[in-house]
Amino acid sequence: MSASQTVPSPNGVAEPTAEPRAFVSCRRTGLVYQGADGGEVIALTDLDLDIAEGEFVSLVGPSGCGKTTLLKIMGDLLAPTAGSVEIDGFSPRQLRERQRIGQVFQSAELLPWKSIADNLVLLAKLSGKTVPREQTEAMAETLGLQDFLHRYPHELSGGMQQRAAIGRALLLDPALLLMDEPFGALDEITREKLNMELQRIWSEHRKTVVFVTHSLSEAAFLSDRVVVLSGRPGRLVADVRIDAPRLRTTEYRFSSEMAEVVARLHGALTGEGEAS
Amino acid sequence: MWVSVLVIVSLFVLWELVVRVAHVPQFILPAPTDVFAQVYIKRDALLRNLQPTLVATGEGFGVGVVVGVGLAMLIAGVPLLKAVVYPVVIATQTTPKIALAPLFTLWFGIGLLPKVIIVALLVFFPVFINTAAGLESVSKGRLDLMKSVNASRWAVYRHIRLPEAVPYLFAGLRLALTVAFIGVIVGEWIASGRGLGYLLVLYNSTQDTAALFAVIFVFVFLATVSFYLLGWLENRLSWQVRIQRSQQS
Repeated sequence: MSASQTVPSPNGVAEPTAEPRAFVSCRRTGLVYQGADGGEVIALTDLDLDIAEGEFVSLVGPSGCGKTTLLKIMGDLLAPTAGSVEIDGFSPRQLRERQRIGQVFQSAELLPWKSIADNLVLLAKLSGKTVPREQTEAMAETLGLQDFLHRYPHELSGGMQQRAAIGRALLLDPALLLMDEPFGALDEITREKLNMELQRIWSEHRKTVVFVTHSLSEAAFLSDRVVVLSGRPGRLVADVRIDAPRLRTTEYRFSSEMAEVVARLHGALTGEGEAS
Repeated sequence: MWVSVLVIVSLFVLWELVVRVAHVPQFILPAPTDVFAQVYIKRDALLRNLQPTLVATGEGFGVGVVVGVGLAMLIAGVPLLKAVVYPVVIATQTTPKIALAPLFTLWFGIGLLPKVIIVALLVFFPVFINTAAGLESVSKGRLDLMKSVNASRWAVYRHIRLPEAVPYLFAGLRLALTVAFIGVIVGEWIASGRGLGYLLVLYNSTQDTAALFAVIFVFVFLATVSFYLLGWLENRLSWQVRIQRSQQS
């Protein structure tokens, strides 16, 4: 909410300001693991990050910068070896055990033996929720999948499968939605289309989203804030707020305003990037 | 389908021609028409001996499948048991089971039981190994997904592992079916006074080669029908077949 209401600065980019209350807060979070050669690999080190409720934050950075690691720590799929992460007053584990974290991965991970309708409600059901038919149908409608509820995943295109994966996470009604390169495997046009749809869905549900991507333009288009991480060891090198008003349009995607944001992200990535 | 029928018919015609033209003696290689005649002539004996063979194969197959699937599910559910079960399974499989057949006669006498045990022993292994592999072939992504909602082990089992194992199970069943027929014949050679395997021994000793072939024909027919039945079952039950079919069309 706060981001969309802030008055945009002249160039559409502003330095991050202190949020009144952090919804997600990472304090000196780090993860070190044992490499294949027996040496220690620092995947992420000393990361401080606050995310406000309802905010859409993207993590960008070169491969191996720890962005996926950070996402997995937030989702309690990995445990940090240093520092802490708190989400809405809970640890990631507590939040996961309360089934309030929605996950979307690069591969849709739909179950091929279940229909789209069954896939959509799978996680919600496993977390003990009863999902009324109408709710599933409404979600399918939102995602443009209303005609595919009784189809099976292999009958859907990659983009549609990914939409179903997003719907599956949203039906959980999560407090935090974690998306790990959800459109990474899609072609450019499909990706842009799904960016628009994700923005629309997000603006309807206003979930707090942490979104990992390789694409600077995708990050600039979707996010309230883009956090740039550097490679090995993963550290935060820039935190760029994007105040362009919602809903952002295709015109915005090709505007000089967004081009400037992308240029700035690019500068942060290359300028600060250190070779391992 | 029609191509298969055509191929089989052509092979029979070729066979018939070779035998007739080269005047091959019947006790060496009877012509197909002679064999079919024998199937008709010996129909009472064949039918009488078909029944015990079918029963032994069916029971042995059933026992082998139930034990194989059950044990695979057990070790997938309780990983600790894997260390106990695997060495035993490997030991039973490295023992040549056919060589055990005379021993079974010694222990269980002549009749149904030794045949069922041989078939079950042969069937068990491919079913067990395949099902176990299927239950373990779960992608990290799917496990992460289940973990993200704190799904119980049972939920992971029911929603991911079991359906994942179904195509593997059918691959195992197909292998099991071939060895089941081998097992029942060997069992009847050694430890039985009834069954199609026994008839083989009998007609062989009387050098009634055409009748011998008649028994083989019946066996082949039986195995083929079983394979089609299994395929039919797989079509209904395996999600993977559904995917493959839709991709072909």
